Amino acid sequence: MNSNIENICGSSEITPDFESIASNPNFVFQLDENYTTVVLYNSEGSTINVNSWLECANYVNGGWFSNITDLVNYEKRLFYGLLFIGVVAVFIELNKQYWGQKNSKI
Amino acid sequence: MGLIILLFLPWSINNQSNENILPVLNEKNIGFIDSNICEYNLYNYIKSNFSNDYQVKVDKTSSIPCYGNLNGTSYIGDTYTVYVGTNINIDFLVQSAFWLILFSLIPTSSIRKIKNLKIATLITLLLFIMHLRSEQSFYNLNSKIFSINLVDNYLIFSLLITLCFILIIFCRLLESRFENILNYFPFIFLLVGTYNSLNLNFFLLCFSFFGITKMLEIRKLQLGFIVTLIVSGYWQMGEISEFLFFDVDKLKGFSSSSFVPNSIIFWSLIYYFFVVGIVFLIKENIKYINLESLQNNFLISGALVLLFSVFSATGSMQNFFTYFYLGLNKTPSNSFISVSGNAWRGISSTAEGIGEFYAFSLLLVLCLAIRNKKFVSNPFIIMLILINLFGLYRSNNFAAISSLTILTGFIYVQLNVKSLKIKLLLVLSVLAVIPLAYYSLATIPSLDGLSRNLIKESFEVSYLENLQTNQFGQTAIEENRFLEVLQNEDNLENISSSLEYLVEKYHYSERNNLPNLTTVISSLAYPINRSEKWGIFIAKYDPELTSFLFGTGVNQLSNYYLNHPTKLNSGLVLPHSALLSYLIYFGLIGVLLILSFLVYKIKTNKKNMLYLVFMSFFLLNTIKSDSLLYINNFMLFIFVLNSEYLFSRNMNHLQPEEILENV
Repeated sequence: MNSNIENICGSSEITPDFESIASNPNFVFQLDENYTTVVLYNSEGSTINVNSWLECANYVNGGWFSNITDLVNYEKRLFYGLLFIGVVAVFIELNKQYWGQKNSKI
Repeated sequence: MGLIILLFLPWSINNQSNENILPVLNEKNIGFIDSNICEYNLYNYIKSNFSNDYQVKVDKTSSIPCYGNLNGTSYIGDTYTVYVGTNINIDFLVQSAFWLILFSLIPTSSIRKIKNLKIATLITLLLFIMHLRSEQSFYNLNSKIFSINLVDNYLIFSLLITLCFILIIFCRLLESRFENILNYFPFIFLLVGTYNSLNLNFFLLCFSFFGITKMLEIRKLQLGFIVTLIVSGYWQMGEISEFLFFDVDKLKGFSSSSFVPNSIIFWSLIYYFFVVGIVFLIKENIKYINLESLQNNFLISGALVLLFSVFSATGSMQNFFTYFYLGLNKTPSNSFISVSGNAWRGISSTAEGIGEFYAFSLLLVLCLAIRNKKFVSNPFIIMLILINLFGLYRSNNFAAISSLTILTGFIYVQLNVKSLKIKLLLVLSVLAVIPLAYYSLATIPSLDGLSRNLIKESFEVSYLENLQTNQFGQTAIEENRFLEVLQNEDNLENISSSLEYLVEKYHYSERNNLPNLTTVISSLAYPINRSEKWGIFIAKYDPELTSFLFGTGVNQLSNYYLNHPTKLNSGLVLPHSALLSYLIYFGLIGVLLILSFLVYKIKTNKKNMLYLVFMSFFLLNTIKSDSLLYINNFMLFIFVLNSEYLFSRNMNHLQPEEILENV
């Protein structure tokens, strides 16, 4: 079983049949009163509360996750990282030119 | 050092699992990777499955955190396939960095300043945005989060900033290596430079950028830019159908994946800038070319192409790394077996194209040896020649082999045989052998059959259902009553305008003992094994009069391919003739203009024998091959087209000063 399921939803003795759940459009997840509600997110930023282990496992299997940090926009990080490198490179270049001009005057 | 880091780091640092050991992939734990998606990196996998038989494929839609990690497995036909995550942004960074480092290995020369950098960078960035927006469907297949909305679109912002870096670094490297670049030009056949998840090519971007700097500098080129804009505007207005996605397959990086107004403008402009860039690079550099070094580099490049082709066929991991780091348009052959017992393409996307490259390398070496009367004695060079010969043999390009033989013979006779009578005798005997060989082929049909062959092949792929049959079960096509098929209105809309025209020409042409157009094309197609391919082209090519005359746009095959449905609408079946491909792009008028230009070039260089031989080689080969649709073959053609001064340098009738003046 997906190790993420155990990490996010906890352990269970149920053996989930995800294919039959996916193929049945009328499938309804039964509320488990003993199960503590888990909040899951997807890559588009949508949120869902799941109220049973099976429901949680099904969503995690479909790519949902519990950790909000997974929603970090990595492209944004990459962009700022590259921008920083660019600024540093421009600074070094200008510095070189400045010292080059100064030395040539001397 | 940088190369080694870029080779190993992307596939080994991103391990997200606490346990480093991945079980050996087998039937029992096939689902393990699927259950632990993005947990293990490729290095983990190689460690535990080194001796196993499996395939590696890329999952281009992966997120940045999953880059280089395993994203799934499948087990089809006794083969395990492992999917490695790649990402559009990281691919652009890693591949560009790798190629720029390789580019920096070219020895430095005196510095040549490139002007108008800032404006050229801005124009390139705008073109890049236009490209991304116009080929949205292609990029949606390569990235889950791709969007053309520019607000907070950090994916596109990151690509733009990466492109900025690439252009600046490329420009610095070019400035300091300007005079040496052309000597290393043959290596474009080894390092193709096509990005894994972008429909762009490294050389296309860089040399177009150089072309833009030239355009900003020279007024005549600005006029060319305006003409290109007007022509592309005309192409946009002329076409009503839009195609959002066309699978470019092995043409990736040098062909449009959509047929929308912005893609027509983008590919027209980038083609113009690219050609300008290469032509000026050649013109400004040709005097620095060292012919010996150039021919050696052709041979070394050919040998390395073969070496990497063999290496990539020895295992799936080698195959994957060769594909990724050499920027191949498609994954290399994974075995040494020829396709349909015919040709072996190795790392090249096209056996025809690589065959032409091998043959050209050998032609260059042989022609220079004959002209300089200095035959190769260096064992290393002899070994390289043999390797290139083997590559040519495996590519099974008969046209390239025969044109190499005939042209080498021609240059030998021209330079060594003084007697005009013997020369004439030799030419006549060769001219006599060609039709004899043609008719001695056992499978050749009768003259009638020959002239019908092309039409029959075209009807074969046209959507003609429920054709009436006679008492023997034969259709009108089988009975050669083609006109009858046209007379049925239900069939007519499934028959392309070009097929309709050729059938009418076949039936209605005057009986004046001269073959009609259909017969001429069909008879020409048969001996060069193009009946089927050209038949398919005719079945598909359905232009209106305006698009027949002026074309549908540069590097735009989608309209031709998808506008008129035939039985062959999936998989990329190309016209197999540069002439026909350029007829789609530029129309009849465009093709005639290009041909006139080629005739002009040949006429003005009629005393430059080597140039004529090389041009003849390309013109003979491009009639029956698609090689000009591939960026490296296209660059080679432009190189040869503009290399007249290179081969006239040592001609007796010119003094070195005169040549320099000409340059």
